[in-house]
This record gives sequence, C-alpha cells and structure tokens, in this order.
Amino acid sequence: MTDIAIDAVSYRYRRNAEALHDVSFGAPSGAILGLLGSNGAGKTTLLQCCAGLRAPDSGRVRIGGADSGSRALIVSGVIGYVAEGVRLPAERTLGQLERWLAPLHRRWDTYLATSLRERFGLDASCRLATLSRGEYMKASLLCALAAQPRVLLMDEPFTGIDALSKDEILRAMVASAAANGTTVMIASHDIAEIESALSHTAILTAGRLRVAGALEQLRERYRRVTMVGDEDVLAAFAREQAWLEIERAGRIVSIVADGERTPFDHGMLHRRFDGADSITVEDLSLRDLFASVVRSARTAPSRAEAA
Amino acid sequence: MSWWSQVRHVFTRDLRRTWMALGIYALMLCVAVARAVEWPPMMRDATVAVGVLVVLCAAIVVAVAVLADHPMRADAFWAIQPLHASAVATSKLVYVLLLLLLCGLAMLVTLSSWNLQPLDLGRANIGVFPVFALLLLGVAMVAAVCMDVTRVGVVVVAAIGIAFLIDMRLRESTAGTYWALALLLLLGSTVLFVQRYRDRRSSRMARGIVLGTGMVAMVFPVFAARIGPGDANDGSVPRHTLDEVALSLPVMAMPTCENGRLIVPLGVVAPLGWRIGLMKPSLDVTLDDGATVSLSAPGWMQLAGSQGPMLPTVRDRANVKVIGGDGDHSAQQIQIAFVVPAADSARTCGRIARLAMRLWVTTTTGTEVLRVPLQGQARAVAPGFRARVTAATLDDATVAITARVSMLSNEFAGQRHDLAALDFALLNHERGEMVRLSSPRSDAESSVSELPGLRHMASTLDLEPYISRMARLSGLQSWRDSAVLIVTLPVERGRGWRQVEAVVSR
Amino acid sequence: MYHVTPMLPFPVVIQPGESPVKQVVFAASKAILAGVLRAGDPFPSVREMSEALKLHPNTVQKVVAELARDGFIVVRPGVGTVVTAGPRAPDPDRLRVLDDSVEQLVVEARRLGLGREELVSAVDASWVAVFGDARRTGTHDADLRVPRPSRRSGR
Repeated sequence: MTDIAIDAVSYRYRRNAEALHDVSFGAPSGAILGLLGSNGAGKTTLLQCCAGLRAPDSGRVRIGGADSGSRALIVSGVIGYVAEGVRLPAERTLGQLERWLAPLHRRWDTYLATSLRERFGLDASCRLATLSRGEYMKASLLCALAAQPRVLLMDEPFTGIDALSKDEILRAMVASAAANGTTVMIASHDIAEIESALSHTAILTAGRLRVAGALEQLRERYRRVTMVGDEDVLAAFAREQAWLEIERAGRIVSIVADGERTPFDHGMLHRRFDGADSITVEDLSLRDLFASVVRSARTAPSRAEAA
Repeated sequence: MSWWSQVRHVFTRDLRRTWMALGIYALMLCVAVARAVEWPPMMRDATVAVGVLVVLCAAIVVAVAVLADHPMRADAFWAIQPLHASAVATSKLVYVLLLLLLCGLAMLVTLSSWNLQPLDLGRANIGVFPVFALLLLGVAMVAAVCMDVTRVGVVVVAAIGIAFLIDMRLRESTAGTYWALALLLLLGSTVLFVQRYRDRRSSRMARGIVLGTGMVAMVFPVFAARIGPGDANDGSVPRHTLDEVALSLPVMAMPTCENGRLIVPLGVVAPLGWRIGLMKPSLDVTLDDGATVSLSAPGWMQLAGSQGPMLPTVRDRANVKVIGGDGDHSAQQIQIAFVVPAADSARTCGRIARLAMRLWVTTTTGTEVLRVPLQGQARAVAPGFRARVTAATLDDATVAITARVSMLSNEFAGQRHDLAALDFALLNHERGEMVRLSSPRSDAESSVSELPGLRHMASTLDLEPYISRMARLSGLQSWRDSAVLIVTLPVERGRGWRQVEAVVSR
Repeated sequence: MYHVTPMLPFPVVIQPGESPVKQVVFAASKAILAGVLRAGDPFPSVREMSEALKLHPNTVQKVVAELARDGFIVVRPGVGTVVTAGPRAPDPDRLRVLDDSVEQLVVEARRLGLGREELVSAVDASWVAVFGDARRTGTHDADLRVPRPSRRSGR
C-alpha cells in the first residue's frame, strides 16, 4: 500500500556531474529503509525526488503505485518530509505553528504532538526565532511525525541532535511504524545507532546504487571471512572467493565475501581450504558493510557493482 | 483541506504575521489622503513625498509576504506541507488584492473630496487599479525569482528609479492609455507568478522571463493614463467649431507700404469668450499685371489679453453686460505687417489687385469650472477642482485676491491642462460687470502624486485684474459683497489653416 | 501527560553487527530460563519491545514468533503475550541452528590445544554460571524452573 519503488532515477544538476545515475530499488510497505552514502553521494537528491520536490531527469518514483512527481503525494498527505535545510515559517511560537499545521493534515495527532514536544524537551511557547539548530530540527521532526504520514522521508534528521533526543526520535519512528505501518526512508550518517531500527538499506556511492535489500538478507549475503595460512592457500582463497573488499597482512587475509556470487559456509570453506590454519566467518555490522562498499567503490568501481 | 480553505489558511496566517506592516501601510495611506484633501490644513506644507513612501511600503510588504513562502527556494516550508502550489500562490495574490483594496479605499476618500460624479469616481478607481496592481505584481514576481530580501530591494529600487526617470521625461508630453496592454500584462504576470509556484524548477530562462516581466510591470504604470474627471462639457457651453471664427479682410482701398512693410488689416469675429490664436500668416499678392508676390510676416499674434474684450462666457449670459464686444460675438480688428523685400517694393506697392491671406488658426474656449464667493475662507468644489479664497482686497486702488486652487491632473479633449491654463474672472451680479484677472507666474504650480496613479496640482495664486481694465471699473468696494470669483478652464476647440481673400478696388 | 519509555522486564542490549533477532531471542530465553521471567508473567507486546529497543516491529515479530515456536511464550489474542512454563521437547532444527557455533567452538578449542574433555567441562561450567546448578544433561521437562542463583530464598 505504501511501498516505495524507485525506478531508474537519474538527475543532473546544471553543468555538474550526475547527482544520481540510474538508481533503482524498492522498499515494501512498512519497511524502515536506511539510505546510506558519503557526503555528496546523492542521498538528499534522491529523497527530494522521492518526495516529489525535484523532478528526476529520467525514471520515476512510485509510492503505493502512485507517481510522486510534482509534490502530488505531499499534497495528498501521503508523504511527510523532514530535512535539515528546511526553514520553519516565521510563526512566533511552536504552539502557534502546531495550531496552524493541525488543520492541514488529515491525521494530525495533537496528543502525539504534545507528547513528542515534551520528550524532545521543547515548550509550546518556544519562540521559533530563538531556537538552536538542534532544537530547530526537533521542532521540524515534531511537525512531521505528528502529522502521521503514511510514508516518512527523513534527510539527516539527527544533525545537531543530542543523544537523548536521538533516542526519542528513533523510538517515535519505530512506534509510528509499529502503530500505523508507516514506511520510512531515512538518510543518516549515524549508521550504528539506527541499524537496529532498520529493516532495509540502500547504499549509494557517487550517485550510483551499490547495495540494496533487506538487512536480514544482506547479513546472510555479506560476511567477513578471515583466513590465516600460508601464501599459496591464501592466494587460492583470494582468487576463488567473490569478495567486496580484501585486506592482507602477513599470514592473514580478511575479505568481505559476497555469498551470492560464490556461496560459502563454514564447513565448505574448511574442506576446500584445509591447508589453512584457521577460518573464521563473522557477521558484518551495517557500518562495516557500508565502509567496505564505499571503499571498494572508490578503488574499483566496476567490482563494486551490485549483482 | 479544500483548495479555497488552503488559500484562506495561508492568507489569514500572512495577515496575522504582518499586521504591523499592514498597519504602517494603512497609516501612510491616511497621511496621503490627508495631504491630498488638504485637511488638516497643515498637511499640505509637509515636503515629504508621501506618494513614494506609500508605494515603497506596499512593495516591501508584498516582497516580504512572497519571500516568506518562496516558490523556488529549496528550503521552503510550504513545499513539504499538503498545500497546493496554486493555493499558496493565490493567497499571495489575495494579499496583493488587499493592499490594492486599501489603496482603493484611500483613493475613494480622496476623490470624493474633489466632488467627482459617482460615474467618474468609478472610472477613476478603475483607472488606478491596473496601475498599482501592475506595480505590486511586478514586485511579487521579482521576489519570486530573487532569493533574498536584499536582491529584491535592489531590483525594485532600480525599477522605481527607471520609472521615475521615464516619468520626468514624459511630463512634457501627453500620456496615452494602453488599457489592452495593461490588462494583458496583468494577466500574463498573474499566470507567470502562479506558474512559479507550480513549477519549482529554476531554469535560467524561466527566471529571466519572470524577472523581465516583473520589471516591465513595475515600470509600465508610468505610461498609464492619468486619471481625472470626465469632460466638464455639460451642454451649457455651445459646441462651436473652428468655422465659427470669421476672418475678413476689410480692404476697400489700396493697402499702403511703409518702410518696407505692407500693413494689412484683418477682421476677426468669434463667439464670445473664445481665445483665438493666429500663426504663420502668409500673403499672396496679385498685381494688376497678373504677377504674384508672396510675402510673410514675422511672429505669432495672440489676440487674447492685449486687445479686444475676449472674456469667458458665463451662464447667465443674457443678464450680463460684458465689457467690450456686443451680443454673442466679439469682433476685433488687427493689423498684420508683412515684409516687402526692397527689390519688390517699387513693383508691389500701389499696384495690388488682389490679396489672399493664409493663416493657421487655433481656437480655445473656456468652460466654467467653479465659482467661489469672496467672503472669508469660502470654498468651492467641482468635479476635479477645488478652490478657496484665502484673502481678498478690493478698494479703489487695488484688487488683489489670493486663492488656493487645486485640480486633478486631467486630459480634456486630448490636451493636458495645468493650473497655468486656468482663467480667473470676477463677476459682479448686481452690476452685471465682469473683469478678467491674471496671475503672475512667480508662484509655480506643484504637481503632486500622493496615491499611485493619482496626480493633482495645487498652488496658491495671487490674482490681479488686467491693468487696462482698471480704467473702466468704478466703485470696486461694492464688489466685495456681491462679487464671485469664476474659474474657467480653456479647452482647445480646433485648429487649422484658413484662407481669406479680398479684391482691391481702386 | 508525560510519556514514559517502557523498560523491558528482562535485560537486553543490542550490539550492532549481529542479528538483533538472535540477540533478543537469546536474552529473552536466558531470562526465562534463569527465572527472571516466570510462567504467567506478562511478556511485552511487539510495540513495547519495538520502542524500548528501537527495533523495527517486523524484527520484533520474528523474535516473538521464534520464542513462541520454542515454547517460551504464548500469544493470546485479546489478552496479550504471556510467558509459559518452558521450552518444548527439542526438535532437530534447533540443534542444527547451533551447528555453526558448535563447529566454531570445536575448531577454536582445537586450535588452542584444548582436549575434548576440557571443552566439555568448560561448557558445563558456563551452563552452571548462567542457569544455576541444574543437572548436567539439562532437563527438557516442563518444570525446569531453576531457582535464581541469588541470595534470596527461592519461591
């Protein structure tokens, strides 16, 4: 119902290199998808295209089957969007802003707004002009969450936010997903902090999609395999196993293996490379997976193409 | 929320946020109105250009309103709210409309002080609407394209400066009306403005078009028609044409040459109260042997004032004895001196058989506008005119009247009038006498524009009778109680070449 | 009204990297087996756990499904989720899940030079440390209610 389908989206800023090149992935209804990428990878552009704030040069974004172009889904109240750069209107106080926003949104929850406001440590009589950057962000988030959109798009919502409030935001996000089945797409650099809340992820480097999918599946697919052994065993290993990233030091080789290309499991690896001293297979944290993807994209772009 | 509710929602919020700025704008309008109606009397002496301030204030208010919900900025808050782009744009237009309505209200109050007829009132207001609307829409468009206040300010000031300069150049010429163009520009601006909100792409061409149109819209009102009362021709003044002026050459005997000049008498008969102008006289002389000689005369002669009793017509013509002239018409005889070149002198003089004179004739009639009694601070108002006698001295030695006159800048029959063209006369009902007054040019009239598109002139004039009239008046003191100051506006009736011929009898 | 972040009735900390489902299932089962949660105690709802742990609700659903399948909890529609008496008889699937970890343990022990008996006693010691002084084989009975290894007198 509110699944996100990004289909071959490309965007080029005037005279600059392409910000997005043929990006396609999706998230099912109710997913919380983490959009990861270095600065300038194209996350903001992609989120704006998803929201309908920017029209892609080619391709399109569909949410729940409906094209999101020209702010259509923002106007119909399906999409809620939060970003760092948005300037709140020049109302005097936060309370006034809430009162003005309430009639605009069909599903505005005043109780939730009040509750969030308290949890963020803000006051209804806060003057918007005197808010700090973090408080400003919290106020924007509050307005987006209280509107209870079906799809929530968040662009670096944790910028300038203290740890306690980050917690509250994440809690509110998963609570919204739990209560209403909200689909969330969140771009953030705080990968470790949000990992547990995510169900899906998409990793962008330089405007291109590298990895996308459900976290559970990605955890199965990408693992770190560390082998200790002699030169010949290590060389054979490095040759045969499909890897995303490889590091060598002395008698140790550590790779981030792609289990989809060449399958691995512990027993099979032992049998195949029985000359090795030890073989360990470890799960990757999302942060490490991200780091590997980005590093491999920088050094060998073709190798890093998503299968 | 329905589309209209959204418009109202954004509009009411804008009102709420900017009530102070709107208050200042309203206050400025009040000041402008006070100055235009010259009440309280002290207001008229203030030298501040309130009109410019009103326009600037409105422009600032509009710019701030548009910038608050900018159509193209990436950080616009309205864009991430469930608001239709067209609704937001429309609410800004409604805001502009509010400013226009406030100005219209001020205009209404001002114009009613000039006693305009309801029809003229409506016409005048309709005349102002596109003027100011274009100005404000232009500012809105510039604000929609420029991202911050300073840039908008720079562009607006530049445009107003350009408009001011063009206006100064245009003052000498008549301004025409370009209604169709104005309405087209208005419509186009509205569409472009709304489109900015709907299509938030900022391509260079789109921005250029909007910026250009905005600046044109801001400068265009300079070309718009000045407003004023309708033609005050109410039928009591007979519609005469140029043909009514009868020219004749009452030459019976041989015209004489003196010192290389041929003096030809010319008779002029015109309806009473007409001002006749004669220009570029040329004379074709046919000699008794059939040869023709062309002669010209230097200079331009205006008959009014210097000779002959050309006086303004008055309503109750029949009961008034007009000094000089008889009945309905006034007859004059003038002499025109034509230059005869020395070579032709012997040949020409004394051998003239026939004369043909060609002249360029312009005719101006006076339409009575106002009558002001002389007592105290008496005032009179007519559509587009206001006059008040501030001081009157009448005795055997002096006739001096000081009057404060103001008029809406207007166009009668294609001409632009100013205070200098007004004629003043004193009428004594009891005695049935009328005397013409003139005013020295020292007191220049000032043209003021308090409200956008509304231009009026005001001046204090010191009036004196023509000295030559003095000899014919008697008992001036008695005039004080029964005299009335009449203000007349001359209107050009026609102009053209006229030819008149005569045969010389020996 | 002040919002209170729900605290869970069993200790759990999510470490990044490892599957959160595994971590929570591990923590919850450990708590139930250790007697922190007793039979009949209310088990937190999906929403509560999701919010407390900042986990995606689907993830929490999987946790609940697994715990229910293993017999640790039972979901009663309309009433809520409740801790039950204990795990059922082992089914071969569950042992297979441990295959990886067991194999890794065995290989690691071998590498370090430990013998088989040494490994077994290490496992035993760890079992006792976590669950208290249970019989070595570990019961599969319903009344595996191990008294808490604490100063308090058992109930």
